[in-house]
Amino acid sequence: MFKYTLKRICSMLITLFIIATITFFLMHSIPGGPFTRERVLPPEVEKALNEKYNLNAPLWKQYIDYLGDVAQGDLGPSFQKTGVRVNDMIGQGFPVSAKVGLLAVFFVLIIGIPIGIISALKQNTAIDYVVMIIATIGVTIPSFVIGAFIMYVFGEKLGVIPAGGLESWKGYIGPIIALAGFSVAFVTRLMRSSMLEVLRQDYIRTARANGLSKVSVIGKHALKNALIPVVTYVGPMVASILTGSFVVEKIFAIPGMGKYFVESVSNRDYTVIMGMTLFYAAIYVVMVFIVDISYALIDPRIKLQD
Amino acid sequence: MKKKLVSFIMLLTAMSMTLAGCGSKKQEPSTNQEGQIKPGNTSSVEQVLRMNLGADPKTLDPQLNSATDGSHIINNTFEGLMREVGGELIPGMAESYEVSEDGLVYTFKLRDAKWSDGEAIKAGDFEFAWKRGANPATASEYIDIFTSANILNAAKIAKGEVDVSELGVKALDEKTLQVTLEQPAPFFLNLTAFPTFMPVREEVVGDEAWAKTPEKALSNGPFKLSEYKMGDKLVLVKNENYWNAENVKLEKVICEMITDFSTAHTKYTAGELDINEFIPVGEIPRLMAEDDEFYVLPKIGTYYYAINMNNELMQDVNVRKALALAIDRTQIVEQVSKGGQIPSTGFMPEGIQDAQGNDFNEKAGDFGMSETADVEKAKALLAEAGYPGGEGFPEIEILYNTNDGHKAIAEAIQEMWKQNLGINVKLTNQEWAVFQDTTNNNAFSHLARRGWIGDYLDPQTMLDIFESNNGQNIGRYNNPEYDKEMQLSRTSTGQERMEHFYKAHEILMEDMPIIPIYYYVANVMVNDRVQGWELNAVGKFWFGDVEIVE
Repeated sequence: MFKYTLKRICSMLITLFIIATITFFLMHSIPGGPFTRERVLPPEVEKALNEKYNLNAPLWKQYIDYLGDVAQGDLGPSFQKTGVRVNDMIGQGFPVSAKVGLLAVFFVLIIGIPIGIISALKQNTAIDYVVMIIATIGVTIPSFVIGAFIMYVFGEKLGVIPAGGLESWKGYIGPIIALAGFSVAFVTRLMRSSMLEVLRQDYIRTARANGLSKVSVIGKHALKNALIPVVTYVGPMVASILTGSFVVEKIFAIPGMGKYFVESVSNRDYTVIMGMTLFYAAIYVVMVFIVDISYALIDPRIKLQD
Repeated sequence: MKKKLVSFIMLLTAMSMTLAGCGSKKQEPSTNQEGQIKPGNTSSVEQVLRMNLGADPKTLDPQLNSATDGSHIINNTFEGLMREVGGELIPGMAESYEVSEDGLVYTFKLRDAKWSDGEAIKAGDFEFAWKRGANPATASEYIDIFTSANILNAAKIAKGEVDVSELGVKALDEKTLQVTLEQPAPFFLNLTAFPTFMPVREEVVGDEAWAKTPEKALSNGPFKLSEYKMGDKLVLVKNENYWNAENVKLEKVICEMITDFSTAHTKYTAGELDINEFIPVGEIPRLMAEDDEFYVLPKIGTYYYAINMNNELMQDVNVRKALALAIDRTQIVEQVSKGGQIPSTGFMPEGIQDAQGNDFNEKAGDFGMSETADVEKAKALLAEAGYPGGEGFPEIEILYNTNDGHKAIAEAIQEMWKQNLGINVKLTNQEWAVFQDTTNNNAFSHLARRGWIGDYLDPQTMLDIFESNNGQNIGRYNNPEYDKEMQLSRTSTGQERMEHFYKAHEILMEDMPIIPIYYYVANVMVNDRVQGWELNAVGKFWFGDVEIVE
């Protein structure tokens, strides 16, 4: 296990390095730079800015310098927010996004999994149909539509939730529904189909034939195996939900980090683009690692290869 | 349409000049229009103003700021030698000033004023701030404003030819500041109210984050920063050390950073915001018609299409004029942009006056351009250029940055040119930064969308961008006659100087290297309980005279 973990950490670092490299050069290849303005900057000022942010160095030098800083945990200064470090932007934005995100993940799991199971056990009954219709709708409606709808109806017309902001607990309702909506529906469908698949397996029949109770068979034997596809999906989903959503945070005026993913690209804030990408990628690879470990815990047939 | 709007705008300006109650749109005298507010009436009302700032400002540092959101804050946390309120220039940090006979040397006497930490404000603080802004090493995006102000050596310093210590500003003693200009600049005084010219304290600016760090953000205006939450909100509180603090009624200004227009508008209608400029375009026609808390205010700026003068087809003045005349501007503002914008038949927006008090826009006239399309004349011009009925005219391209509003206008113009001139237009959009790169390098084919917002109330702020050596001249318009008039304006004063601007503007409109479309306006919603607010023509809020009433 120790050897396995070590090996995985190495491969994660290599993955991050490759992501950083590709992003760095792609980013520099798009036209326009951080100091491209509608109001053209005087050449001397542009020169001073390029010097200040090390943009006049050859690209390979900038790349090496940047990686050197990242290795020391410094993601550099933002080019667009004077005096602000990328580390601070993540440090202030991530906790906010993660707080809303964790709650959303919690609801995805406690709603999606049980309903999926019930739906599978009651296959082809009225309950199953209703659940599947709702879940299909949930998968097809994008989060910004859900978000805007909630905001309009409950925020503007009925006034039962605040019009943006997280000052009161009611402020969390809208963003959580918008963030969790798709995943709840998806997890429900996934759980249902996976459960149905497992219930058809021979060993389930054997267990039942051996006189084990239905509850015990489903709870102990079927559930564990049926969870594998769900866990596969949930890992990356957690990475994406925790780092915030541009659209949902914008609609509900949440000061999270979701906006930086989009803003930094449109204003060519190079260090922020890199910082956000690396941060997201890091959470992602860690989540994938956790998923792999949990496979072994859930299903004894899966062995982690050293 | 125009007349009505103009008179309405004038009315609003006049009302905001009284600075007591900004009038409601319906002009019913019943709603707190009277200048005086009974003191007993308001004592119980909490003096807190909540506004939406939109995005998190890039910086709140007077010399480094170049954005409107930053200006809203800086205009209230800092104060220059002068201050512009209600269209008038009033003494700020300067108690009085003298101008030498040749108009070149200004000597300012500072009043006994204090920084927010209680330290006295010295002339040296101004000298330091101005030299900081004019120094290319500081990388102020507004460095050119020192050149526009004609301050001695500013242009050479900006080019790196002369050391910044040679800038024509000097603290003679603690309370006397002397400024030397290269040429008399009548609007120099107005510029001393501009953020880039506001003082800063040398000991705090070393830390780049100072202006957003409440403990370090020393300021000298009516308010000071008390809280800053990245991407969330910032809070200003009354600066008790402000020289005129006894007349500042507001205790606190909460500035939220809500970027989503409909969320911001919902917050406003729910009463959670008192001031909001971020209003969904779809709501504006209704609000304009029926909501008396919705204001359309003048703004010094023009929305236009730059023509690439290096393109052979576009080098024919008749082609350019035909295109300009075939646009129905009234239709664009009424049915496409719908925000109360004003059709532009010239480049100079309303609100800039000449030395005799005439409105430049009015006196300059319309150069034969009507607000609606002049189809016959446009057709004739195109025929004269050799394309009768649009025959043989190649397809031309309008380039704009990706945005629904710009797209809608481009589509309307595409249709008008097709209908009126029989020519085909291709619309191309580019992402913002790519678009800037293309247009600033003159790499667009025929026409590119552009907007220009003036910095100060003087024709120069609008006209110098078309000089042949100006970086903003993306179409590469080059007429020595135009340059000459602009140059002459720099060495003359008073109405004579203005005549050069009139002449330059006339040359511009004769040559038509741009197609003006409309003059910008500011749309803002302000709750009636906010009295004495001002959003001036160069787009900055002033809260120093605000009082919240019930």
